[in-house]
Amino acid sequence: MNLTITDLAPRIERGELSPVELAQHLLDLIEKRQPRLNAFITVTAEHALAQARQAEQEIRAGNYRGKLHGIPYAAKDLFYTKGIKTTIGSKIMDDFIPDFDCAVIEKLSAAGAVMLGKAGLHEWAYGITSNNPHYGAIRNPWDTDRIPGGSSGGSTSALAGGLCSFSLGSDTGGSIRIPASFCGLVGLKPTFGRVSRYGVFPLGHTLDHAGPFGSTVRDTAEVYCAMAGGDPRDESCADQPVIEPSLGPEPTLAGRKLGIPENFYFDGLHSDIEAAARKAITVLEDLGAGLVSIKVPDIEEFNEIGRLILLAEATSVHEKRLRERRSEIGDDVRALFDQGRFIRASEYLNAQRRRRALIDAFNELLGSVDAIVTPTIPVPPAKIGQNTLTVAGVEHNVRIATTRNARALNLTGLPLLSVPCGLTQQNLPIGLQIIGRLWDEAGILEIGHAYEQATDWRLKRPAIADE
Amino acid sequence: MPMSVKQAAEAWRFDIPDEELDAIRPIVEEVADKTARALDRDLSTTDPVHSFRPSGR
Repeated sequence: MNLTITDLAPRIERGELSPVELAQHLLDLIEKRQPRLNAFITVTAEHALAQARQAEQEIRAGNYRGKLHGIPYAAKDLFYTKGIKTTIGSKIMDDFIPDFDCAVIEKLSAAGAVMLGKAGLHEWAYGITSNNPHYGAIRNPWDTDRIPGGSSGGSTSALAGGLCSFSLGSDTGGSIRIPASFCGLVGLKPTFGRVSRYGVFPLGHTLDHAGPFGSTVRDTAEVYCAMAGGDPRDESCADQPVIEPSLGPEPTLAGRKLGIPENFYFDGLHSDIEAAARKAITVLEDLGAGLVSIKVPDIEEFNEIGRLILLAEATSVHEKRLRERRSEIGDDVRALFDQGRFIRASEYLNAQRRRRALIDAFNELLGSVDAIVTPTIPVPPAKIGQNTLTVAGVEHNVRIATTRNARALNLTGLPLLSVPCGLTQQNLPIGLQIIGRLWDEAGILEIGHAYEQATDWRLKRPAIADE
Repeated sequence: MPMSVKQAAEAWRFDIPDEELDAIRPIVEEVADKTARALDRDLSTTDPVHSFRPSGR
């Protein structure tokens, strides 16, 4: 079954497809595939069927709420859900039941969407493998021996595995774009302040963003528009008008200028990824985009600035738990929390000062181009448990290599989109990252949509999704 | 282990087991070294970024 919102919504609206039967079908599939993917921490069958029954009754009564009405989704298990366990991927929180819904879940419930369950994640959302010591390794549907990326790995494992129509993630240093790229999906990290974080468990409070995953850009845009908007309960959330992207049937990028970095972002790429990204750029040019070679600032330096800021912010969130429940935190995350304890306050504040230079540099670059295009990740997904990988004869730490093109951009707050742009020779997905101007999610979604329409990568699915 | 990392852990009473402290020491030193270079400039008149909107100063 094609599970895209674009395909399902008209059938649900016309009464041809029952939201209850759809939810039950997917709950049956989750039961069947969960042992192989481990995408969910909690499956909310009763909750889902109740929401689906309500949707069905409302639609039959002529009260269709819109394109998400009756559409099934999975939420990363750090979005607070009233009366439903929310673990943040941690053993410490395995009995935590929030007494309120986060803002995003409120909005999706108001739109009539049906939550099938809480998707797994890297412990405390602090890592990119989603190899969780408490809830098990989450698996990539394209190759179940490999990581799906993280930290939102359960959200993309579920969506790529054909278990829902869209999913929710959060991105502090790449945690939406990385699993989207590794699982062959579209992932949007909106502008900082665009989506309320009220009720989203924090990792790094100046770096965290909530955003959607979809199988297509159009689906992703639909969910993004439902999630976005001001919220007085989140001081960092802005009351900016949400502009719907114009996603026409005829792909064109005539009149758009795209910046192609001549330094950093194309260095040290896996050969299949470099070939796919270069090919994608020729497609963008064929669609009418003007290509402009640009020079970005020293991203290595800002990756380090971002690393320091996140180490300090994450440790500040968890220091009490680290003191009191140290043995209940997984080895890799505990080591990161410990590293953050050595950051001095003056270093943290000066890193936040230095961060301005990157914001200013990207805003200046985006004054002369509409968007900047890079590969999302320089390397393919590692095998589960693999700590290092070799690219072009050079050995890299998996976490550092995987986040190389993603991490510093969280410092800017700019909207970022990852769209599928190829497969490696080992049939593993490759992503293209599109960096937009502040508040211009519509622009990068339009560019991504045009690219997607001009290629057939959106049609590629892992075999498990069709079983 | 250089005394600086060990001394800091003791001074701040981090209570990190020796084996774990030894494992993170090179990373702590790497972060300190790389960021010291990045921050070796006069930033005194630049406002730090807070959790507010990135376009706002």
